[in-house]
Amino acid sequence: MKKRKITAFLLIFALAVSCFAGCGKASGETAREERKAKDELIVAIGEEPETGFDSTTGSHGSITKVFFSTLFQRDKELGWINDLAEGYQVSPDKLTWTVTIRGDALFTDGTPVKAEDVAYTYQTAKDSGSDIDLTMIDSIKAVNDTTVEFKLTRPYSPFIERLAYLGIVPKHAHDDTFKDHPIGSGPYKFVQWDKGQQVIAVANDDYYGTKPNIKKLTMVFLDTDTAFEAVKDGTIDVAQINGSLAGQAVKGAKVADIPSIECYGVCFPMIANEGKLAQDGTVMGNNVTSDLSIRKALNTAVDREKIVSGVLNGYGSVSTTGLEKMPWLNPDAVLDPAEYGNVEAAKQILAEGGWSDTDKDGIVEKNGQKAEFKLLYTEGVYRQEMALEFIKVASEIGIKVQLEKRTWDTILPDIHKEAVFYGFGSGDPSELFNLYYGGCAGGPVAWDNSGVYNNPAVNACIDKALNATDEAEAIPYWKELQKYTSAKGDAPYCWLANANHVYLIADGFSFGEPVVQPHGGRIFDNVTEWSWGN
Amino acid sequence: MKRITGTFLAKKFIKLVTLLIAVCVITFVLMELSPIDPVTAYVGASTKVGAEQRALIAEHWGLNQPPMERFVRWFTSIIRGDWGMSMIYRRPVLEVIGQKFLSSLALMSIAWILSGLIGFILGILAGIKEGKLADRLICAYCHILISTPTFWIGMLFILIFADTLGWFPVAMSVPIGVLAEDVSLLDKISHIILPALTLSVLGTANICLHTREKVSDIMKTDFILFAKARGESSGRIVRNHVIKNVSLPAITLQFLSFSELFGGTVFVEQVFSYPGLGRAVVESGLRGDLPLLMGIVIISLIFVYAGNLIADVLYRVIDPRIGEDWNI
Repeated sequence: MKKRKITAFLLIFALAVSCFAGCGKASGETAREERKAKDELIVAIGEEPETGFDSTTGSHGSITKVFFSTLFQRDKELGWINDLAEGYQVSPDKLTWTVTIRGDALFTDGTPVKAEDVAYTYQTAKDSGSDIDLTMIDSIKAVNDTTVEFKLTRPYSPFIERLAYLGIVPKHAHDDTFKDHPIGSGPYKFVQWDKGQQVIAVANDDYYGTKPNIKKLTMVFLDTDTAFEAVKDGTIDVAQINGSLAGQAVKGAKVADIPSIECYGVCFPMIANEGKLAQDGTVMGNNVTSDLSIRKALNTAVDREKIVSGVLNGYGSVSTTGLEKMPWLNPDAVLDPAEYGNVEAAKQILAEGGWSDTDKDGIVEKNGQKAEFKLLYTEGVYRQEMALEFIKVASEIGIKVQLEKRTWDTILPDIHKEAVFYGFGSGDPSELFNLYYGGCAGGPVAWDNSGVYNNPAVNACIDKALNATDEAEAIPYWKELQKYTSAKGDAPYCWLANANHVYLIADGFSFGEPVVQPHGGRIFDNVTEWSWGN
Repeated sequence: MKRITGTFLAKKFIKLVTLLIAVCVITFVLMELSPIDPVTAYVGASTKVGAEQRALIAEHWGLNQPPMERFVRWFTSIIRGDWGMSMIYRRPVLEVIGQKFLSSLALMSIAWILSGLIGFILGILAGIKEGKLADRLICAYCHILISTPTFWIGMLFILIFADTLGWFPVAMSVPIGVLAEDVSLLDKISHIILPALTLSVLGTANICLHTREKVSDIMKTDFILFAKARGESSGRIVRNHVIKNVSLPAITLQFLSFSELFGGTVFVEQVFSYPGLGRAVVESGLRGDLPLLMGIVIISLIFVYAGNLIADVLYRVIDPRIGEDWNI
């Protein structure tokens, strides 16, 4: 009797389980079909802006582009196109930027976007003490309804970059509650924000640009693994993942990889360690990496193609300059495939530079100095794997590199005296200033030119570029300096690879033609082109 | 009796205040000693923010002042009831905590009640059946649970109940893409069950094993033997003799478990992407958001302390023998 009861119970349980399981799976997929039919989309992309959707108190990356319009926008090849602006003019003394804006743009509360709102947005952002750096602005003035004048404290050719990342807020509605209920003039209208979880938006019918295909857009904030699972079971449609997950086959979804300029590379300390101190009191310089033949040999030895196929699973491309796919790349600076991945040539460079393994311990030395240094890296996708490949190749040519995992806080004390693994690629040429300008070395921002590179020719190019009228005029100078900063010149870096941005997307979904992705991503830039393809 | 209760509570209150001050000082010193630079943490590893702007940020948040001055300023303002602004959220600390604590509280209370009830019942069951199959099963279950990390159980639950079986949603506290007015209570419940269950599993084992010990002790006493001799059924024995005797340690444990509960939510909320205080603790610590971290420290201290205090008071209410001597 008792046994029968147990068997019966087990049977009921098993039935219930299988029934529920069936329901769960099916409901996820039908829900997705319903969303497709109604042009709705759920994505797990990007970080939640904890401060809220007030663009004057913090840049919230590409999500800005969903609710707000910016004055200008990078196009797909990283050139410039107008967004809210109709154009700009720079005065002969290069200190006044006059921007005209279109007259037909409306905020989602129905009021027109005026120059006054633009001036207000920039002034408020400048005064907010947030991570929006507008210190080069002296004053902002709305001349009339469609013209804004920015007076700068110094000529600054990359200024247009600052005109492209601040979402314009309405002056009349900008109060304490704004961050929780933003009003913008972008392609989407804000509906709801469940803090820590999701934001819901609907297409803005009054948008002046191309109307978005997706009518309702839900952005959820989940970690990569959870998001991956959620795409699998049909709860969400698009998730950003990393290359290691991309290998798994998922029913009803496929991997989309978008080319990026997110570049990884190793920065070398460029001066010998003579006890020179940085502003924050840390020692600068390294006796091994300050030797040009060491840096050139490493640049020659590392097989970037192997890194792309092995570490990035093919979701990426080789980089030898850190600037591939950018309009300001100097093609002469790029290493030919025959010029890297060559261990023998690298050994020869070392030998010519006076490095030889006299005590037969596998490590070369010169004047009693063994070729060994540390490579510091932080946590992040691909970083450890790439660094491991780098030190493996280094050991093949007799250079001993000791790999050490740190956090950014604990890297700082050694940042000027050991090699550091970086990821760069903001899609802004002025990044070259942060990377190579001699005046940044050992300054208040430790990772600006942390390798203490100082070449007067490079400094002159950067000065000229920053002093140019605008980006177009500056590009030749940005190109020129690469003669010195490339692996063919002083080789202050060993650039390795660009990592594509990888997404798992439901079948039928298309990103359209996204912008080349910078560090941190700019996927929402073409949100109006996203579609279910029906 | 009333007068004594008054001094007892006063003493407890003074203890709480001194404890709070000590913990605040220690937290502040630890944060100062940590290598985290709040300005860098605020900006992130961005190259777009120059040195000039960094100085402005430091000035805006008062980070450029010496540590001593910052602490004194924070401390005096908190005495006046102003908890300061959170750097990460750019909102008043109290607003952030209030919002997050509410959703954590729902999670914690469900978990707390569940673990208490299940643990107590299983403990009694194991205790009266000591040595039998039921006891061994329950003990094995508890031992496995007690040695399992919370986050791992959470992941396992997601894998089984959310992913494979599809009974519960994978994450978050509300359904994805549904407008607030369309979210039903049932939706909210289905989102809280899995995290609450994970959290309660942790406390269950502890309470169960302690209760079991106590029950098995009681079962060996003379008065149980006497009850048995009188012909009382096991059900009656449990009701009349065991529960009363065993509830005392169980209740104490249950209230003392506040601290574990709090620690557990940190993990559970991470695993389930549940928007509560647990995630805010991690963020505020890693990003050097001192006002928020201090605020959470104070709130959690009061929370745990209240748990212990309630246990103390209940002890005396349930067992009047202890009440005669109100020493602390």
